[in-house]
Amino acid sequence: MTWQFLATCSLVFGVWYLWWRWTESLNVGALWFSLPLVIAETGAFFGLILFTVNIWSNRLPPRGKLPETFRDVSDDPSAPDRRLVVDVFFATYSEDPEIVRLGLRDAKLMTYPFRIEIRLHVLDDGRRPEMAAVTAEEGANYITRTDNTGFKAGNLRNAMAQTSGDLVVICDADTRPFPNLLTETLGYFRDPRMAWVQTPQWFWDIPPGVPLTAALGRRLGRVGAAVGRYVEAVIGPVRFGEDPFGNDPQLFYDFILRGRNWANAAFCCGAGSVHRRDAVMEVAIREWAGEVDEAVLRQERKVRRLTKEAVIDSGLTESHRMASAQEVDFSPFKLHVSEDIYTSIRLHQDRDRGWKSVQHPVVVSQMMSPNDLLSWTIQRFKYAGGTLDILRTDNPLFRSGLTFWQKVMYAVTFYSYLSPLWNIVFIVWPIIFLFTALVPVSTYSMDFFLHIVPFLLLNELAQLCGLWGAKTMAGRRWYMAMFPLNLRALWTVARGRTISFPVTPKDRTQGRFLHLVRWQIVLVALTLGGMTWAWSLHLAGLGNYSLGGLIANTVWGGNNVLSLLPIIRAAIWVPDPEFDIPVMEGPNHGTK
Amino acid sequence: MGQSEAMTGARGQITWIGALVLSTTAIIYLERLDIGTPGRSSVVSADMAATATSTLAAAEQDHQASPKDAGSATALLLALSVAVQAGAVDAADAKARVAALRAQSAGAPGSDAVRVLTDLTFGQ
Repeated sequence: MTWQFLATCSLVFGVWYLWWRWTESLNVGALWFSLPLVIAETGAFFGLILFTVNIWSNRLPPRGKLPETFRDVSDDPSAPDRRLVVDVFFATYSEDPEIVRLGLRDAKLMTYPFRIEIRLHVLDDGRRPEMAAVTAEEGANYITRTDNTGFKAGNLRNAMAQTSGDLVVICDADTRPFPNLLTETLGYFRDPRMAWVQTPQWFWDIPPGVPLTAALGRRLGRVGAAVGRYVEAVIGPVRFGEDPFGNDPQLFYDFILRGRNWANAAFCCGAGSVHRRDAVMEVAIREWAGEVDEAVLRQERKVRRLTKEAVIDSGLTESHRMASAQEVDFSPFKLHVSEDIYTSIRLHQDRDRGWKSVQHPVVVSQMMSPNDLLSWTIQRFKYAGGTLDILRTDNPLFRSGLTFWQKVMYAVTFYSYLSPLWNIVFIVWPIIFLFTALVPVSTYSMDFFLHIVPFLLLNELAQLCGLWGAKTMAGRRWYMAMFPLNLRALWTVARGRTISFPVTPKDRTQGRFLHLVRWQIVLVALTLGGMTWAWSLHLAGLGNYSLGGLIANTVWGGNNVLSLLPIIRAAIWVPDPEFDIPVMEGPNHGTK
Repeated sequence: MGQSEAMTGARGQITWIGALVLSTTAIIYLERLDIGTPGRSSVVSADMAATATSTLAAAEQDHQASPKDAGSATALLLALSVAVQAGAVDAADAKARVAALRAQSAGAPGSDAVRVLTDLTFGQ
């Protein structure tokens, strides 16, 4: 309740602040400068409202007893009382077969209190003999195809056609399931409308960084180490270079996705999810049939225009139907760069069946994270571009199907990718002030601080309570810092360009990637330069800076610099041989 | 997740809250120093601020009509001082206007009185 109370107070004060901003604080002498900021603030505040709704409650749907037979997961009382069959898919393309072997071995250790059939399949889009050999050695089934249509979604479609398990566990090449994956998740499928269960993705190879004690010890010897120990004893562990790519997904899975359970809007994120085959297939068939019907209607309209006949011969219609059925692509998983969320939307839209989903809170698998900025950029660009592409081409918010709250939850996701539009203003505006003394508000007087500070303070306190335990600041900084990437995705999609499907590399790419963060570097330099310039003028008695404005923009600019620095550091990051490498190499460490 | 681990995760936010409080306090304190009127109350009603603004506008108009008149200059100084204290005009802005006023009044009858009043009010 504390979180909800503080969040409500924060939003009320936010509305009060924005009302004042729009009605009383615009600098009418420089509207070109003042208006974009207040628009950006309003845009960000709307995002905050959506985010608050998203994480309002984290209650879980009930989980039934573990199913024993197929009948236990079916809504048909006359369904056969046979063993439950679970297919476990490992989708791979170019990853090291030995990585997949680790996952296969772990999957063989999965436990279940009843006799069910667990079938392991390797879905190799790379058609590699060595992958086939590893699969055979581990006693799994090898599935491949002649082309790579639809990439991962196409790979899964191909596997669905060649398998028949009642439930399907989706793993990436690097996924290593825990023994309790099935016992934690299968209980939800007692509900015959449960379509899929997503579990939190957890990365075992996140670099832990160098502890303060060790870092100071290296530079200052025993004295430094002693100081480090003392500081860590007081404020807790401090690690330099911890999670250099902001990959820790806890904030997303434990709060954002889990917060959608009450609205039945948790979407699938691929690896670590368990699906009901019937749900995926049924929706796909229905959609396919709809597309065939549309194709037939299009054909009929063409024929009518050509022949001027009012009624089309039924034989001809059937013939069109057969042709369309062969032409229209059938795919259980949408052939799209963001196939996971797209397929989720499609299932949630099926109001006739009322398919459900759940984000389970317990980690039941581990996987690898992109540990260089190039891989990270590829992955995040796919996420952003794919999601925005759905918004542009098949926006579910203005279509029937989703419930109101489901639409709100998906809107949170779509809206979050529009953030570069206001984040760029938040980063550039203090720079303009610092160099020109131009103010975006009528005055940096007490009135300004009286309105903004209660809102900021309450918002921070609310998030402290609502996201207790998450590394919120790190998440916020990365969200801010990746604005050029999101802006590029936005621009690419806005121009109607296709977002490509490159596989996120699992092997770390060595090198410096400063070119990927050139905008961040320029903005950090400009902010620091602006601070130096403005304070120099002010202290020399020159310039027209008000002290309040100068301090406010220095703090604001400083916060921006702190947000942009981690991604710049990530571009030149090298793992520490003593602390990072052992974790990143994980099970292989010391064997090479 | 244990409380200590959660606390570690929340350190960034707690620091941020501390920085916000600290910088706000610093701004309020320094703004007061900047104006040289430590006892003033900056939080005034909107009505009072509006009155201060309109009085200032009227004083400016009078002064423009007779820029060499010490009386109108004094009235303008007084109106500026009130406007600053009411938070209707920024202190730095007021100082810039006062400098212009001094320059305009230079050599005119009563300019010494204007200068003294300026120094007393705005600490030139």
